[in-house]
Amino acid sequence: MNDQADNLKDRYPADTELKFSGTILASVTHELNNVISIINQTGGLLEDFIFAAEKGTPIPPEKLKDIANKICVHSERGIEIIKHLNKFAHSSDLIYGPFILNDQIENLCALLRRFVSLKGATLSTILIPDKIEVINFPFKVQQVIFLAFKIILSLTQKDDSIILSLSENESNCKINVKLETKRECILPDYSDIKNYANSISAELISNNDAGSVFIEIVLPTYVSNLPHNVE
Amino acid sequence: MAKVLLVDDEKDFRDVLAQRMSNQGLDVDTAESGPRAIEMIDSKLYDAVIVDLVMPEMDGLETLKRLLKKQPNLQIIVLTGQASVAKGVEAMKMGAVDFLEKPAKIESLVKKIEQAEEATMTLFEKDLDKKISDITGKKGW
Repeated sequence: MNDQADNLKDRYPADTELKFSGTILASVTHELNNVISIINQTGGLLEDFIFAAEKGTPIPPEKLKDIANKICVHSERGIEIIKHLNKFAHSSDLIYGPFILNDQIENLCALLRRFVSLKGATLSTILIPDKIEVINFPFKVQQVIFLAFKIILSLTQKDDSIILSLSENESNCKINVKLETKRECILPDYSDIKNYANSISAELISNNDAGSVFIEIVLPTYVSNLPHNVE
Repeated sequence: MAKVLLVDDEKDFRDVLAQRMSNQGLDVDTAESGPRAIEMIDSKLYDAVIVDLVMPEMDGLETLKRLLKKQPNLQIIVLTGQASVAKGVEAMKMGAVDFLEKPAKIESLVKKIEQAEEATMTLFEKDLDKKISDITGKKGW
């Protein structure tokens, strides 16, 4: 059975992409379930008040206001999550071609934030204002970022910060996944990710700096410094 | 009135569910994290503790383990956001008395709390009987 599984793994290298999608989907649907649970219980609370009102206990207006506010806030939170998830799902529409890296990174970060907050840490982004367009595999680029992020996340503890930044020079752009911590951390071996990054012409550089640990992803840039209004 | 401790990191979820449980006649306290819940069981005896599985800092399973280490007879009901029962079953193997999938129906939750309250009472009575028989045995009565 194990041999058969190994053979299948060799035949389907896309397995790692499935794993990436699955991890993101599991996390996002979990968060959506939390949002829906709040809306569901808030609706139930409203029912409780209506039931009491039918028996002669008036509903305090401030309670109604609070219920309406909670439903609005969490519906909007759910809508935001779905937008990010939808954008992520559609990033596989284009197998290879030009895409705006800033938007892709921002969207991915929105989906990754939950992994970080579950560790009691924070995730922030520093993206240059100029839109960077690259010609590459949009889904695979996200996967390389995610794999680098996973390594950094494995070292993350409470009160640490993960910073995802994007910068560029004439011929390439750099995506930096950095952990800021007061502890001393050593990056584990990640040669498998390096190979995966190479398959999309990306280069991975690691570094252990004082107070921080980071992996830099270098991607070739074909078109750069696009005007800000590029969508 | 059953005394319940609800442990969940989502403030709005905690507040609304606590209010709904209070409307059902339960005496509800809330904790925003596992470590806070572990502190709180020192100052009050609860008939049931409801614990969310996915929480930052200390997850539900770790919280469950530490709560039971302090009070082995504590009746813990786990709330799971996963659509499969695997995590709930894992929690029960670790000592939870029951689990519910989020979003949980208030009627199901109240029913499980009532069952937990009965179990707490039975365990308390058994414990009391044992203590009485230990004392009477020692005194030779």
